[in-house]
Amino acid sequence: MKSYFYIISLLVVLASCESVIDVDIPHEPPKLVVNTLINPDSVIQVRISQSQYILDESNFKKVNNATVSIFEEGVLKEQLTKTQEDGVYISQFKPQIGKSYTLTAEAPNFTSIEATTFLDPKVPIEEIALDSTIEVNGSFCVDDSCITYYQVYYKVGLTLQDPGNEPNYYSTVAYVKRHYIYETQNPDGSYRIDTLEYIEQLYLFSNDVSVALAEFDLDGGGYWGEEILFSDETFDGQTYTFDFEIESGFDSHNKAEEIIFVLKHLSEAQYEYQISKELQNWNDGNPFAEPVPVYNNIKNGFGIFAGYSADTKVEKP
Amino acid sequence: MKQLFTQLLLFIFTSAAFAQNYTISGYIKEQSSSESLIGANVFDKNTLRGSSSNTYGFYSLTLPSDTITLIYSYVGYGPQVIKFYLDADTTINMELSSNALLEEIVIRADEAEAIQEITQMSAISVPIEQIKSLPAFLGEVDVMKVLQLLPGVQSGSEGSSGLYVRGGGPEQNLILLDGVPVYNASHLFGFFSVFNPDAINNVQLIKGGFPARYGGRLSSVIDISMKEGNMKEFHGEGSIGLVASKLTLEGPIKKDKTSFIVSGRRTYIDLIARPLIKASTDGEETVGYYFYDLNAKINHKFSDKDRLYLSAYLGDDKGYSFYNDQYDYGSEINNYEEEISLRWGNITSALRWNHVYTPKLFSNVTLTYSRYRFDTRAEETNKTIRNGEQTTEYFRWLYFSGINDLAAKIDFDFIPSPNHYVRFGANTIYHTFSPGALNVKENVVNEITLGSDKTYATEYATYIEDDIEVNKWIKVNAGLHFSGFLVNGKSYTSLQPRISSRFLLSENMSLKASYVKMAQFIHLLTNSGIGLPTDLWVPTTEKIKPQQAHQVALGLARNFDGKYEVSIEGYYKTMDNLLEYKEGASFVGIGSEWQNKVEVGDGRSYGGELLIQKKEGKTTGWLGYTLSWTNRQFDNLNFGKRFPYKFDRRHDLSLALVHHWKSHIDLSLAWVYGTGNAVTLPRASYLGLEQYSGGFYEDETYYYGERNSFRMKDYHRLDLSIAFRKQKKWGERTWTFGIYNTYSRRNPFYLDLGYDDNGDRTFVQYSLFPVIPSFSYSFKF
Repeated sequence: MKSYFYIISLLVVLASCESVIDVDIPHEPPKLVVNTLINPDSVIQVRISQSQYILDESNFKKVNNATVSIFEEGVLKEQLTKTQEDGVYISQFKPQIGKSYTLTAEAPNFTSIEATTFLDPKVPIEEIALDSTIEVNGSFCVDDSCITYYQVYYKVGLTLQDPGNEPNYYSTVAYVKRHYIYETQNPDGSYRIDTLEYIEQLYLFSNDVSVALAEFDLDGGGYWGEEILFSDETFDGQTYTFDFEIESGFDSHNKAEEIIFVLKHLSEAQYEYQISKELQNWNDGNPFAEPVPVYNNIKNGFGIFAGYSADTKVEKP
Repeated sequence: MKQLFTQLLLFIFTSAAFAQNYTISGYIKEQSSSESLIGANVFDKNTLRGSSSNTYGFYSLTLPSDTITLIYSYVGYGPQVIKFYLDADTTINMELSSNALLEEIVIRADEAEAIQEITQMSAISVPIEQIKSLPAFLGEVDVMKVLQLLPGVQSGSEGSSGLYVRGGGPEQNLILLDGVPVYNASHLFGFFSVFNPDAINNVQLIKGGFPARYGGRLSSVIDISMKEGNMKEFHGEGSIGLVASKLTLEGPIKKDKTSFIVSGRRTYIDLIARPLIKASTDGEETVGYYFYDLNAKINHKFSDKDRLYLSAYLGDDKGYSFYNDQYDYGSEINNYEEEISLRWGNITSALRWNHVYTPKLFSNVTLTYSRYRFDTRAEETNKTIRNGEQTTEYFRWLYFSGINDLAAKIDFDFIPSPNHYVRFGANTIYHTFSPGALNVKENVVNEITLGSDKTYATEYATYIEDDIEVNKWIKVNAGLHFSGFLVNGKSYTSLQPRISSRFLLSENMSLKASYVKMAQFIHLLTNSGIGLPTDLWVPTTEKIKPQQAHQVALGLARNFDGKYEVSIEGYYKTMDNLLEYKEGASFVGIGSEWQNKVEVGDGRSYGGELLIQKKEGKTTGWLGYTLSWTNRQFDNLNFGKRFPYKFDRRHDLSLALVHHWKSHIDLSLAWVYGTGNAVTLPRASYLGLEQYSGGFYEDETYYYGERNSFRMKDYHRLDLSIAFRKQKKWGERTWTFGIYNTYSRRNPFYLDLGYDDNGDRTFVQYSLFPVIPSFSYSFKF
């Protein structure tokens, strides 16, 4: 829908003038803010900060004197330990699939907050179908040593078995593991070839019908980002192949060894949060759109406390 | 209910039967052009009985055999008096002349059917000449913007031509162009409306107390009649303005038998801008925008009893950008072309047949076709020649939505006696909704179409109403409107009682009261405050129920010496099954069904309106004031709490004046004042989910609190215009100079977060139009 937006923006810019005005917005006492996603593969890390008046624009103050507790199935599991990092509290245990977790935090001068989530089982990646097109982008030679640049397009089909009779929410991310081959100098002055392994997150593109935010880039007819959210609205209980594309540039010194695909099974809260957050950013500054409230599941506070479980599959390109 | 009907019919027929009565009938027309005069009065001075002409200029008056003195009158026209002995049914086609206008003939209140006499309340007719005389934005005369100056009608965002009538949305207006509903009445994102004033004969707005003959929308009826075309002489008029030029031609094809009118208008910013943009981008890029509309009508008079009209409207808006890039590396030649366009427009067409069965029974049959369409497309072609071998990549992306209607309608006017004016009829509309589909074509071979399926629906209605003069003091318009909607095997029906009445309190003053129930089977999905083409018309479905409204209104109407008409009205209105997008959804995507993206809720609106209107003399115009409250409630929006509607406007004041200063100079003025629009603003901010994108950054999230809980600053604006007319050998020319927003008030358009001069965060108000002068040249021959 960008095209119409451009034309209107043009009109507005041509004609509009700005003036600073006073709006009487009431000051409200700050509230505790927590943004935590839990998963069975990691300990729980919580950052507590505080909300501020809309016209204040300092960095968000972190809260270091809070008591943060996690309850498993309603029973106190652990009181989190404050770390060195500003406002960060950490657990010793890793949450388990199939259990509910409640987070509470209290701090002097703040209303205590509470939030609950449930850790859904992972949905395994049944299969990855990779179809690649390699283009040579050109080469660069110094003396007789040449580097060739490639651009690879992968069409990916990620197959999953959706649990039936319930809404399920997913997201997918992909990483590439590369070996960077380089020449380095030995202490004796001679040269040797060395390799360095590193992981890089890939950009994904999808116009699969299940993509949550596909309408956002209607001009391109799809969604483009590091993480793509989708739901089983169109394939509840079926075996489904989610289609997307990735694009990766590399040169002959810098080859992709592995592509790592991650399928996250999200709680509804995380899905709602991420979508509403993206929508808020998207609509911000658009004079024609109604502002979007971001999903919030923190009682008496702000933020998100939600769980996901992830399955990973590694492919050799 | 059935009993009531029989009694009603019995009453009508018996009351018509007992005296030796004869009927005078015919058409009331404008003298020089034979255009129908709509709502002109005919009145017998001796019996004090009268009637008025309908949309086609037809009238019928049944009186006892006696010497009668008929006075024909119409506001702004010299009255005609005929005296004769009535002893047979008589046809009189009367022509009134406006030439007498400047001689200031005062029609006395008891000679014309004045405001306190009629049962219809909450209705206003604005003469087209007055519409044309008032100041116009960029010199483009706009019917809808003049209607915004009336009490009970709010304008939307600055410059927009959308109408918000008594708390209703713009989709709740039944905009009829020669009896055909127009879905999107806006050009250029709402800055102009689609109606070319040169082709219009009459405009009537009804805000409440709807007669049973109208249906299908909740909040208003805007009944626009196109001119029929001059039956006597060939004439033309046109104008050249800053934004657009227009030309209208009309005349007889066969004198007094067949006439035509054609009218066209086009904007030309793009024609001027195109070479400039091309030059500044080395010919690589072209961007443009234009709109046009065309009206055409032919009518043929077979006899005094039969008349046929064929009318059509065609209008489109188009915005486009074209980009071309080429490079030549010797071994590789590349040519890239990209075209993006968006286009929307209406077509309406109507074939109408008037037939006079008896002097007391008039009928009209209408067949119509209309289409509203919106499409936006992007096309890319990338041609590469490498080593003599050509490869072409092609991508086309096309999104379209629209609504097509085929309709048939029959209406009867039955005027058995001066005490009754019965209207009855039936109509059916076959709708085809295309609520958004996407077609993607890649490299010729791949073509996919996605989106919501087309929906077919049949809407039908039947009605009967009678305007009954119970006695000298009491007059009642009672009617029933029954409508239904068939969609996907599901059927909805609605029986809507309509009643309005007036009680004369004195010769000059009456009390009026009305109650109406309205139903609407189509919805508009919109997330904008202006009439954007992306607004999507969708039908009532199995899941989404029809919109429904109840409205009561109570008012006083008083006439001061026939010079001023004053009306005060209060109303209370409820609206059910209103649609809004879910929070965050702003445009119906392709993957998901639109029905999953909407919330259903209700609305309430109440308030009071004052209108002081001066229809004659050197200075004419009106002062309108509205005090109103409008809100909405949706279970899943704003935490289920009732919130103010975006265009909830506590105070709204408008003054519109036209002054004939000298015989060749007209001055006009419009001043509007309104409480600021309701707006949702962030109250607090907090840290969002931490994002890692190359590095950690703190992402700010806004907390908004309740919807529309803040107000923008008040809106006020003064527009002025002066017109100099001069008679030439060939006709008349007029220079019109106008000033929009004369004192350059910075009116709020929207508010956003920004920074002040010290770099501190603050709210910034964006305003659209400062003072804008304009001029236009128009001619008439």
